[in-house]
Amino acid sequence: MSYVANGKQVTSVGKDKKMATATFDSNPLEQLNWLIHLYYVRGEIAKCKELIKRQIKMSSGKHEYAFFKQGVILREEDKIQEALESFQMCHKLNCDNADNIKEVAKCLYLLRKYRIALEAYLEAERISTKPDWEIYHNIGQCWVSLGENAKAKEYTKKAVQLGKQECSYTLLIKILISEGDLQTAINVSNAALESCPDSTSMLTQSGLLHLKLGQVQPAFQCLSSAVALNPSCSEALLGIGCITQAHEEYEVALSKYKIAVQINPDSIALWNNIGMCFFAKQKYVAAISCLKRALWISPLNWKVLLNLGLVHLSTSQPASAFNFLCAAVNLRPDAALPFLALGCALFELKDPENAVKAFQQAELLSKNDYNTMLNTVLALLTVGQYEQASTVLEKFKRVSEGDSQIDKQVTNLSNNLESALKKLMIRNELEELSESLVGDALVPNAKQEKDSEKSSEKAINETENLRKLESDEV
Amino acid sequence: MSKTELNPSRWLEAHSDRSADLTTLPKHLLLANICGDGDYRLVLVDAKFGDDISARLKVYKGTVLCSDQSLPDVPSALISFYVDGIEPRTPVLGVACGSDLLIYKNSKPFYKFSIPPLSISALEQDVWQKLCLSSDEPYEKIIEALESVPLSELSGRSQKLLTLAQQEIEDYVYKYRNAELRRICPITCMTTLYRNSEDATSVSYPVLATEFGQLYVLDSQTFTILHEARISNTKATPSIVVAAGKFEVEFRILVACRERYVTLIRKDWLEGKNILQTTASIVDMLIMPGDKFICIATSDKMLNCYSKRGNKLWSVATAQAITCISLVPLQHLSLSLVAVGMQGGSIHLYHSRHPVDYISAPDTPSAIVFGQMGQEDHVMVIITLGGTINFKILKRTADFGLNQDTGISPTIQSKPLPLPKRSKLFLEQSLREKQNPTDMHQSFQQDLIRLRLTSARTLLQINSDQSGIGNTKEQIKLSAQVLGLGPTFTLILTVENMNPDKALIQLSAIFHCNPENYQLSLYTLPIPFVPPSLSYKIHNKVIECLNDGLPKDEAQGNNTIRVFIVRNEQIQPVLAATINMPPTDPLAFTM
Repeated sequence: MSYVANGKQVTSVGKDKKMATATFDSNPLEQLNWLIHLYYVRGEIAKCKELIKRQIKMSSGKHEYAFFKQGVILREEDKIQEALESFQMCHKLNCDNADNIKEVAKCLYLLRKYRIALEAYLEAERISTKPDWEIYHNIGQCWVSLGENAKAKEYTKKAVQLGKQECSYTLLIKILISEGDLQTAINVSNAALESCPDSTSMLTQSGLLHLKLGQVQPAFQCLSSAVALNPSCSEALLGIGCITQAHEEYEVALSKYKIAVQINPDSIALWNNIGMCFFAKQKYVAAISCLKRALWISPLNWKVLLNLGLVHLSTSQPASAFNFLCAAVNLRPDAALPFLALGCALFELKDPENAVKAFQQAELLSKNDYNTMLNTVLALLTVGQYEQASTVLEKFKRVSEGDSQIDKQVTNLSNNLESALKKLMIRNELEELSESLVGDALVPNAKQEKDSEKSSEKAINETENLRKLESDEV
Repeated sequence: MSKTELNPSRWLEAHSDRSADLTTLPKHLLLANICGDGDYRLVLVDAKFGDDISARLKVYKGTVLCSDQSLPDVPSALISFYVDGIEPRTPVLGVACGSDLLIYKNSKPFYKFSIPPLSISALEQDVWQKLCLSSDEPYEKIIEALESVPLSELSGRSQKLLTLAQQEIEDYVYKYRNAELRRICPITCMTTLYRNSEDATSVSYPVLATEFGQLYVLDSQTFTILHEARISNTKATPSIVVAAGKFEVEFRILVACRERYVTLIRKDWLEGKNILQTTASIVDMLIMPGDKFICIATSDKMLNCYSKRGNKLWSVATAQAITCISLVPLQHLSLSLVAVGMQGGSIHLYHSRHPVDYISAPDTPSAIVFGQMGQEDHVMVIITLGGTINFKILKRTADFGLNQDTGISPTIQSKPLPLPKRSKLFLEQSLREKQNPTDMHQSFQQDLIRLRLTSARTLLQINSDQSGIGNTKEQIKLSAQVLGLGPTFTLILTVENMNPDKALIQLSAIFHCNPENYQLSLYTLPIPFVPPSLSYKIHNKVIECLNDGLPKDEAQGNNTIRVFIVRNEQIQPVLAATINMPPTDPLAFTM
């Protein structure tokens, strides 16, 4: 019903009819996705969560991206189970999206369900249209966790080729090291350094690998550039300290260790090396306190125990040395050096019978070590087993023949021993062996013994570098 | 850090307004000569995210608000660009709202450009046709078909429809029955690209990137699409877009995506190429003027620099999480710095990888812009998360001398090793050992052996001890006590529940003995509920059977009683114990 009044038409709308209001199209759900992302990357988590909540509510639980980001946030808050549920929701909403499966798999991996995670990643690989380095990398990681190195290597190699990401390189190096293929590991780390030149961890890793293979020059270069980038990189400092220590520049090594130890005060390797530096500088008390600190951090470390034994031997405290060495021998019954040192300690404690046993064990374990053989000869002489002594001495001569780099001390010692042996054997033949004569022979021999001991310490010092690397890796 | 403490600041504190109450995001802030009078204004979007989201476009002349108009929606980005060469040179403002680019000229709405809608699936088209025409078929049935399509592939209208309650559907369908079905896609980021000259006031084109991975370059005069490209061949959602070069000659558009890719689009490319991927999410990205290096701030507190081809050149860790970055070009010093705003309110200026200056804001900066404002050439405007607006002017005398002190601070190096002092006791002990090592060793070994013997003995004793037998797993302890001289004894058993949390239930005690030797008053006994940390006592009368009034021979008789604690319906006993009964003294026994 309408009428015209004052030139204006008034139209009334019947109540039963619906008014055709403005038809603004409703905004798509994705309208504010950019804002969710922005809040997230800027760390405004509270606002982000609120927005996600509102978006989920608005869409009555069908907002894929909101669930996705919610999962990411929950995972960062270590609520992995809840995150997993959130990602599973995403997957339910859109099962063609490989990203959702990837995230589900990541959560499963974090929950240590490696087998299921692996299956999920394989599913993601199947769905995704393009090869994705991240999936390959993660599959590799799953295989590593499941202990299948060969398969892990295959996938990680793919990931490295596709993505050239530092984490893939690191994983590949880890696999290669566990396989003992150090040369390839070095090649990989060099390739990695091309794509991430500023990574201190990669530089350090590369340096330590070089050091392990005894390539000191490239090792030093890598470690130095790592320290230049990050002056407080304790691992690289340790490596540099190691190299300088091996070159007997103890002050330089100590200055490196000093910095490193303030960053990483609980490092066994650091305290051990500091202790050995002091030992080399003949500051025995300081050496003992450093080594004891290392031992306090790791009471079952046989190398620290061995070093402590050696320091105590040189401060002429064989009783203490015996205890440390005994522990070392029990922890590593397959290493020769602790037995050698134990033999020395027993010798000092006037227990030559047991010393002979220790030396013989050391000889058995070490392959033709001069010090071990000569010490064995000495101990055998003292207990009066001249025949055996002469056989060992023969063996020494046979082995050391033609070795031009033999230590002078060692040759002197062997000559002295030989003459002493001859004398004693003649006397033995004459059946004029008396207590006093043995005592007579023992005095000079004991002195020589000390010499040999020192050289064995030196040998140990050198092996320090190796052991440092080993503990670096831990 | 010591540098700024010792030297006066390079910045003048021009103005700070804590009550401005602005909520401005990084891409919502710029400085432009929008009135054409050479007096550069600050233009920003103030978006309020309360229960109802609203946004306003504000223009400041100096520090005074001179224009304030409401926007239809929260914009995702704000740009300004010159559309023509007409004097006076006045740039227009572009605001990306939803799928529309709104153009403001002289602070007045001027034009609206809409991104072409995406194609609509035949299924959806069909569903809506059915919904609008037929009325006999129930709506729910028709709508069901939509459920099979992923939500992100539907138009906003259908998405809404799927979330509606049943009674609302009819109204909703009626409302839209005649409107054309459109699937619009929101603009997520925007930038500008010079047409044929890189002069600051030359004509430039807006570059838009959408949620679904499309990139458009628009003609700024006719507002038609000049170039269209896909961001990437994989799933990539743009979050930041930057451009360099000239459209008509050669250009590079870089798009940072939420999937952590950065893709490159060049002239005539229809599809972008992924040139790098970061490990953490990208907060912001810049192209450095001059060398065209890509500077990326990531959410793992890192500022990274990549070459044009996407090779990583360097990365530095920042002190706090980055919230925004801004380019600080200083032409008179011919260098470009990057201002990095961080959580907590500090802003560090980086010259390549070295921090050269430190500025502090009242709280965490949300958006930073640097450039000409008013008559001043070098002004930094900071808007914080708390809503404060802060203006800083760079002193004309400021130089960013690059003699930064790298390396470890001398304080760390000079610190001595934390070694303990040698104690007197230590020295005395070692001296004593030096004097007499052999004896010390021998007595030590002796003592050690003795200690081992003692401990072995004690262990054996504990094992054979019957007074207290326990089951550590179940945490039950049983102890027995025999009272009396015979032939009548009282056996008292104590069942102790050592578990502080769990009560003992469903247990029984079974006594086992040779009936020729002993008679008991009870042989089985259900043990009642024993609450945690409490015990229960069982009294049992034992009568020794005496033959002819005399106790049996020791050898013949077996004077033990065995006790089992069993759990009901379980074969293995929880606990078993043997009690040695004392013999009856025949002399004490008088009948």
